[in-house]
Amino acid sequence: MSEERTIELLIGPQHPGSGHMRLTAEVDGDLIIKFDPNIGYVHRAVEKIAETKTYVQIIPLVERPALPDTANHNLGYVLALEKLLGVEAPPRAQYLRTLLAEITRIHSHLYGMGIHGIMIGASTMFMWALADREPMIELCQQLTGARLTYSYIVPGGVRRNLPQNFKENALKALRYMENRLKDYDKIFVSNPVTVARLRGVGTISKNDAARIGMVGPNLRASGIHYDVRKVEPYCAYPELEFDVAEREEGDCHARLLVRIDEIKQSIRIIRQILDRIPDGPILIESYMKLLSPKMRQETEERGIIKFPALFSALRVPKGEVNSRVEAGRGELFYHIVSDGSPQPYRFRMVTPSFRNVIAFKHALRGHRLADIPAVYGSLDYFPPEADR
Amino acid sequence: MLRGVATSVTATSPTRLLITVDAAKLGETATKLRDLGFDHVKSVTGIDFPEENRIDLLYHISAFEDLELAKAIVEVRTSLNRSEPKVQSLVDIWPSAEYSERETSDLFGVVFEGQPSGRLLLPDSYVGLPPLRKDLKIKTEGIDA
Repeated sequence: MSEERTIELLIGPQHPGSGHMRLTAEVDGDLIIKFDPNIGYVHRAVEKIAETKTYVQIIPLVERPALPDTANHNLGYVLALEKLLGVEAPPRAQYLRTLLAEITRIHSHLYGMGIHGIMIGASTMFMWALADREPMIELCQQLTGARLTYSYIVPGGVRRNLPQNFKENALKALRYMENRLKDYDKIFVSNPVTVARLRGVGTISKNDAARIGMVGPNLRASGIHYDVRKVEPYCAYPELEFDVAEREEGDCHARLLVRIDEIKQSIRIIRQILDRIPDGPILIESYMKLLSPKMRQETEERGIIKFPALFSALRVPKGEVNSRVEAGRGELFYHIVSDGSPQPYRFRMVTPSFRNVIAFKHALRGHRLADIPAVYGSLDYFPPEADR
Repeated sequence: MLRGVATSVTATSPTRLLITVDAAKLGETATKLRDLGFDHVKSVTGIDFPEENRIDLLYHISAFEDLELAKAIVEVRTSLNRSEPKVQSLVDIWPSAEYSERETSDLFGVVFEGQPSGRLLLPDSYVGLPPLRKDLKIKTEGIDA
């Protein structure tokens, strides 16, 4: 009987909404009985390529899979590398790293929210969110010199010091962002149409969320108080005050609200950093010593480190380490195996979107076909990041 | 707790634990760890050692609901025969291992008994060695430093 009633529906891989993946839905009428995401269409073998690159060349490599969130990917990798090298960045560099990580977190959430908007037909939200990334990207550009692929965080420190007038510009951008959040709330977040499409849809219970191992805002929207910044604080996070955004409902709307709350918390963190950032060097002294006296003087005057020259002969001792950071979309995990040669023997990178892909299977069962974009968007799933 | 099951248990740092087990004891170890409160798998992966004809299989696990356990990452490690790497899937114990195991199956050629066959990341038309095996060399463009 069931064989006659249900049909298999193939969606994608050409953009079912925003991403490159093939979705297979077994449907009874328009009711989803089984849902299976098939990924890998934008797989770029980052882990294999990493085995042919030197440790410093891997910094730009790990940024590529997740363009809205490059700083966190850069940071997680460098933290693992620093464990191998046995170095730790000076306090000012730790604050600058956190600063960039939080600016990109806002950027990443805006991006995800915009895509979520267009998926459920709220094109204004798409236009607004994607345009409002600009002040954040502008800040990153002032700080790092690049708009998206910063390669700003290097072993032992950061590449550039805080530019002049950065604080004023940043405070202005944050005020703008806060005002915009109120606009978003009116037009999208609390809009009755949005609420009708998202509330009670794609619900994942607390127990299921932990069991299937999803991460980031998706996990916290299901009532789990897990944030790497609190569980295993790194960089300047131990000294900064912020709350873990969390909700109990576990549905699409809860995931959206958690992202909004996280943007607010990121604004709070950035303000604290701008107020409290300590003076001092931006690169560890043992690496500064490697520079010629002339270069060192230039570096200190301009606050810019020309890092390829410094790190071209970087030797990494034998060993195995792993690290985790809270990236925009969730926990990012690295495992590096070094055999003492210039390239890693094995490089493992597990991105948040890869951990979240399993949620498609669980969140959509029992819903209608029309709910696919609502759930897809709410998971902030980014195929290039998942496939790597 | 793990006596008689694990081959060795080492704390590699205050928040990292390494447990090596025999491949046959992997399921038993996993069940015990899950009962302790380790509720999810962060990563499943392999490391290829062609000279020693083995593939090491690594499970990185931790907890979400128990925030004290969440501070630790436990690595459960076992060695498989490289010529015929086969192991019982842990999906029944940790559903979160599903996609990571399937990825390892694609990229290392490890067979996980109990996982659906069929590829995840690789296209069905792919022929050749599993990509992350060491004997598959990728061509570089010759412009690398």
